[in-house]
Amino acid sequence: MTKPIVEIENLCVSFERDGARTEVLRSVDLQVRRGEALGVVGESGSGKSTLFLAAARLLPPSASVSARKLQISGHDVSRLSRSKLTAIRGATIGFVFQDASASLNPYLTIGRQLCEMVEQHRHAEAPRAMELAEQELAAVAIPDPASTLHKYPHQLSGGQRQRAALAMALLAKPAVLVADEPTTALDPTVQAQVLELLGRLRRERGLALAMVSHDLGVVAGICDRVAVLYAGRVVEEAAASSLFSRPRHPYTAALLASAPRLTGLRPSRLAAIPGTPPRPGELPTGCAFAPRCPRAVSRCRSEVPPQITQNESRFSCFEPLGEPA
Amino acid sequence: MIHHPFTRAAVRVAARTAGVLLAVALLSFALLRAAPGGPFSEDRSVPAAVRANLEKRYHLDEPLALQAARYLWDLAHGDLGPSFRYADFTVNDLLAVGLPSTLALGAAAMAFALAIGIPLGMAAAARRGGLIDRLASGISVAGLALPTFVLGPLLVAFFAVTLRWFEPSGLEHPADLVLPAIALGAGPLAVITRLTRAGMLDTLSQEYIRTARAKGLPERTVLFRHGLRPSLVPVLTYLGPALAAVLTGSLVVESVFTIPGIGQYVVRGAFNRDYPVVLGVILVGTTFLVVANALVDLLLTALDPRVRER
Repeated sequence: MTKPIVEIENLCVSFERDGARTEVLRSVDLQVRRGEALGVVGESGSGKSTLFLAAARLLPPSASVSARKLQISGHDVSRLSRSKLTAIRGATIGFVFQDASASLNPYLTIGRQLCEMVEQHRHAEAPRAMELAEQELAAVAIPDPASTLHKYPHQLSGGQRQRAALAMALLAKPAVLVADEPTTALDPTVQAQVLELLGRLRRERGLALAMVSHDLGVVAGICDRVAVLYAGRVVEEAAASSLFSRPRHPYTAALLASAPRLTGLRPSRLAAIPGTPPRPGELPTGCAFAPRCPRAVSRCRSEVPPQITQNESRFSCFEPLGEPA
Repeated sequence: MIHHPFTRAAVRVAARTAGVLLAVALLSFALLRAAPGGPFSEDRSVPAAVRANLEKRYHLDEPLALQAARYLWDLAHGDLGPSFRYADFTVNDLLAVGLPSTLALGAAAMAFALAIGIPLGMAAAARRGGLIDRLASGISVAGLALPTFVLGPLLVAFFAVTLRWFEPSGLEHPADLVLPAIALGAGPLAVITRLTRAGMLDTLSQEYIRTARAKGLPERTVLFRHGLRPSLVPVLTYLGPALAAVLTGSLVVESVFTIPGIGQYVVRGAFNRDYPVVLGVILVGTTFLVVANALVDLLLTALDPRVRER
């Protein structure tokens, strides 16, 4: 198997605020392999967004990050110099964030923001950079790319802004694209279009994708492998098909049950997960999901379940659901 | 076509200036006359007949409303009237003599405050809690706490008297502007440093700054290309009030450093009830303020593409 582009082992992240320390990620292991699409799913507060920001050292100074291994295409991120780090950001690991109206600079034209990506990573200057930027805008299916270059972000529609942000990330030809809730801020129809585009571009370019989302439905259509995060830990990871058909962790099962299904004429009743996710810093001892878990036994409340690896999948639970066939 | 919105803006500014000037002129006229005493009342040596003649010459014997109307009529023709005290000079003459020095001092003070304040505020925000940040906060506390009439003499004592780097007073060479400009610019410098720092910190917490870093841009590009412009908005908004502070502060600084600006005329004019001189200086200051505020509005529009649309 080829070497993974992103390798994370035993990553712990905590934030310090007003003297209090809050753990956001707790000994997370994760890999993104070349060309694959990995879904990272979790509720808000599960630490899913922090994960890849930590990998690219993009967290604010109030965050403290420790890891046994934190590598992006073989480079130890924690030891990289500033200049090496800027070379890897964008060019090896690209980012698309949730809300393009906030993540694009409102003071600069789309063209300026796209061109600086080319200038920084592909060393092409003005006329050529503009040309490349225009091509990329065309590739993400923005109508009239030439005039879009001269527009400001607020002059585009939400869907076009997100497409422009995607084009910007793709311009540096990254090996892996981290898409953090890329469609959450969009209308459902636009959402579907952007997802379709993302899936197509990824296949055409052999791009690895790390799709961070709270929405299993979004991840289902596009990802090969899915990791489920709960309260800062990976509770289950498996190939998408087996995770969706035979979830092992009760939390995964509960997430699946609470997702609306469009099969059948009459929509079935949605099963809500009882309770609320624990607030970071107020974690129960033992399994963090135990207080909400229908299968929890007394052991779940006192011990953190160890990770069990089976074939290509793993989960952390004392009382897993049915054995895989 | 391009000039069209600009012309409209210029007309709007002119109209606003005229309106403000009219209001300020009437109010100041009334306030000055409400103060006790008159231009010739203290000169005991002047015989009653001569005084009556003087008052007749300057129309001071007429009803107040008529005097006000006469003043406004002359003002509309650009004539600020005669000075009561500098017998052979009009207020226009006095302003022509004093205004260049005052303007040079004000411009130097603003340039000093901006040239130091913006980089200092940026550096403080970029290394929050660091050495420069603490230096910057020290400078802004000092700048706000020290009044010009204290800072001015301190600067003279140290740099002119002890070190002899500069002349203690007068305005013969451009270098003579250095100390008064520092004294006058210290207050605005303090505010500009704070505003830039706060603006930069606010900008640096924006998502688009994280995007810029995630794109692999070097930190200096992130700060200057992505961070600077949004951070300057609060500074720009402050420029109007800053100009007001510099204009009023200038009166003090000019007398501390004996600079032949318009400040001396105002101070003496106020003591002598030289109504037209005081009024003239007030109106010139007002004009500068209104025009500066309009320019700031235009600049703000140019800075933020989202405002530009409207």
